[in-house]
Amino acid sequence: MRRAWLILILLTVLAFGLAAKVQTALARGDESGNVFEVFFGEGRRMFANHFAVKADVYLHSGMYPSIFDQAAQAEEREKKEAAEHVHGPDCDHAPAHEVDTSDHGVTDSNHDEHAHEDGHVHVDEHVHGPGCNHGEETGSTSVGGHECDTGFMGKPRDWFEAMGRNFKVTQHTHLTAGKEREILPWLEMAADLDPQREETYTVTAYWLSREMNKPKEAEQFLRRGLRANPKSYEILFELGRVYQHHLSDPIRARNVWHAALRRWDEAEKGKEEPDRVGRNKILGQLAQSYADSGLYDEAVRYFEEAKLYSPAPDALELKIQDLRTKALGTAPAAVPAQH
Amino acid sequence: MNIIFALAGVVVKEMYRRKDFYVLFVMTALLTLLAGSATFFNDPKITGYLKEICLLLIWVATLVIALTSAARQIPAERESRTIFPLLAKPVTRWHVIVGKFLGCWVVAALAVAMFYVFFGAVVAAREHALPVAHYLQAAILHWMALAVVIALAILGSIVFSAPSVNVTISFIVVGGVLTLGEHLNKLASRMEGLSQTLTSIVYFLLPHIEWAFAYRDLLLFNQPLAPWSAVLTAAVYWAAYAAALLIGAWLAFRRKTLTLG
Repeated sequence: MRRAWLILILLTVLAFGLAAKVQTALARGDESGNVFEVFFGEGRRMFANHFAVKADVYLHSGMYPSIFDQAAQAEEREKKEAAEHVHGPDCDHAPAHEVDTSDHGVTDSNHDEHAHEDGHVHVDEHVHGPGCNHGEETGSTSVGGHECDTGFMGKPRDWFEAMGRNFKVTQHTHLTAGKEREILPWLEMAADLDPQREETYTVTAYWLSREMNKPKEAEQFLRRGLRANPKSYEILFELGRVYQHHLSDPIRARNVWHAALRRWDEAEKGKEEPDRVGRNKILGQLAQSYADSGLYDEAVRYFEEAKLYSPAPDALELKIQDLRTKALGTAPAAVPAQH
Repeated sequence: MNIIFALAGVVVKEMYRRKDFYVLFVMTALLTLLAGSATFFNDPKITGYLKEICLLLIWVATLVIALTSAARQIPAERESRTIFPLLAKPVTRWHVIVGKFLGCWVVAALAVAMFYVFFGAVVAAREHALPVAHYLQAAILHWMALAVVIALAILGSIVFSAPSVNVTISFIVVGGVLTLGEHLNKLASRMEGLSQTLTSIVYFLLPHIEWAFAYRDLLLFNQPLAPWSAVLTAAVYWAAYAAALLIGAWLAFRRKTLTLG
């Protein structure tokens, strides 16, 4: 009887001790708003990429190369490149990115940074989003400029592999008609696990605003990303796009893009190899926004700057000429600056 | 045959009294419902993550039920010494092996059926769809794959000294097959020499129960049904594999000396 009482007292002490400990930890979790941080600490970041890839797996309806397929593909590519490519003075390794200034509507797509020169290849880091040009995909492997590598399966090597394919997804399709929503939980979990992963916010915002017509949710998610990454010009760029193209608020969009340019200056200016593509994107969108609002002088100013970062300055020069002509035509009715 | 059914009946009754299944079922249901209560970006139509979590829990729960129930059958009989009066009757060691296997397999069938009914109800509530044929295929494949798992655990219960060792090793083997089984031939094709030969041998010898595990993707992404001929072929393959493991278990059990000490 006495021993039972002692055990009971011991358990009570343990319970109170544990409660005090857990309460402190949970209180910390409430402050950061992230329960994963409480349970996993910094280790949670390791899993963030896994969930981001999971979102991509869902987008491809489960047909996705495993790490073994990816390793085999990489090996094959290396062999092929080594066999075919000879480096020399004639090598043309110019970046494939070009500023996109003409496409500024709801379907705007200034996203060439992921348009791989050798077609779309899935890698761990790749998540569909602003970087992909999906065009009008309806399940084919190369439509609308988006090329998905569906050849990773190849022919079955043996009977077991052939049998196994009866129970696997072997047809490459993308989620469409609102079913893209299935990728969202994984992206949210990726953001919870690694709040400093900027790409998660921009990709999620892209899908929310462009494909699911949820610009308010996209804005909120980007603002959450901004709280975690106050110096991110990528998130500000995407936020500006949401204001410009989905919330019809060009003034706010331009303010956000100006902030993005300032953040870019702070983060990239002193670097040996700054992110030219990032600045080019911001300038292109900013200039186009001014042009759309009839503020041609401002538009010309930012297009001129974009020429410094664009791999296709000639195309921009044509645009500038066009805007200057328009500016001359509307000179008497000058519009006051709005930013 | 009646002896085998009688032995199997005892196993089912024993499992009926134990709490393992109920606990696992309640845990699976609770975790699924908890996951289902979450909303993402104010969109109540998102179901993929819920299906994925639920199916994973179902697989884990059924593997635990199958492995733990099969692994303890013969050691428990030996420990409590009931194996001696059992074998003193007109019951052979083959009867014991097959009876225990059948009992565990029937229990697995009941568990699989219950879990898939629950899964179907959850999905129907969210997606307003009830693809019965898909669930039937998934359940058949799942159940047939569990036959191999149970047979493996029964063989292990005779070979290994303790049920804990058996369960741990069986879990590692089954987990390895489910996650890596289908990739071993790809790995082998990139190897050379002896390592390639050994990896290939392991690949061809392993029971490829990962097919049943992979079927989850067809459910997750609302894909067309697998050919029934393929389901039948897989079922026959796993049945043959389970039979081979049971024969192995019987051969090992036949040579096993049962002592009172």
